[in-house]
Amino acid sequence: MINGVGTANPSGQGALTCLFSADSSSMQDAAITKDMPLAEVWVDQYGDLLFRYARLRVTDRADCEELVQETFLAALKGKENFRGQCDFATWLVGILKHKIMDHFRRQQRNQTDSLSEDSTVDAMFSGLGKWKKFPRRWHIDPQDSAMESEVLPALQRCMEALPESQRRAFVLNIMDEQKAEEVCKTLQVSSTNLYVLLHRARLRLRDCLEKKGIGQAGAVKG
Amino acid sequence: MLKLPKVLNCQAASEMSCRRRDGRLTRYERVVLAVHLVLCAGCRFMDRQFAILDLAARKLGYKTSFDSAPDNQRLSPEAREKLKKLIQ
Repeated sequence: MINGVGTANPSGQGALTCLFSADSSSMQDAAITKDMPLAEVWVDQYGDLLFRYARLRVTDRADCEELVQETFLAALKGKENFRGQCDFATWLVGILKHKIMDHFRRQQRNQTDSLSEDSTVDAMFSGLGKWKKFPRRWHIDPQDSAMESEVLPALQRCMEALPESQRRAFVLNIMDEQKAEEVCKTLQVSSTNLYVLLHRARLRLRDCLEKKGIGQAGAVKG
Repeated sequence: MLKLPKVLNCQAASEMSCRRRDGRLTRYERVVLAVHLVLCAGCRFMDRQFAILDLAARKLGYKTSFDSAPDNQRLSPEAREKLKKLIQ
């Protein structure tokens, strides 16, 4: 089995689980013929999808392109492992997901400031720990279309501005719903430190969204 | 003896609100936080905002993976050509 290919479950959703193994049989060969598109069309059919998935989680555009490249190469090398039990796109995303975690591990090793002071967050509170600027009521119904059309694009932009360690913790634990223990292993931080990162990330995102006018009727800013 | 809830400041309340979302608060801490949220409108809004934030993040992670996205979220033509050559 190739490195990073085991289960494909890109969003933590059980329905998307895709299991496969290294052994091949005539049944699997039939599934490959039926479900796997020819390699020549992979880039056109799945390149943008994989790139978007990476771009949402990894800040640097060049890193994202490299991760997509690694994913396609891993898929080529291990295509006999695709048993057709899930959509081919889901299988590719599963590989990419593992590549991104490897990328985070490598980046985190070189990260030295993950738990240093966060002056932006500290500046949100007075010396006595009170809000300097009180949070406002957000008039948002999570089921409303404004959630899709306004909050999600604004959140994506706000996430791009997060410090890397906070962003990685938020992406893995909140966005991709990975278990805290798993995230701690990937990011090589203790659970206490993970919660410090998540707290800071949420405060920054809350503040950023509010500055963009989220929750205030007709006041969304770029 | 009954332990009386201590008075929290907003910064500590925001930290507790986060930990509660991840199921990491003791029963005592939950009471302390609840008392603070009754007394502080700003923190009640924050608590609700954190819930919206988490939900939006999960939606974003799922949606962008499989649905259409803006043009600036596409592979560059150079990267696309490079990938095609590599695969063929």
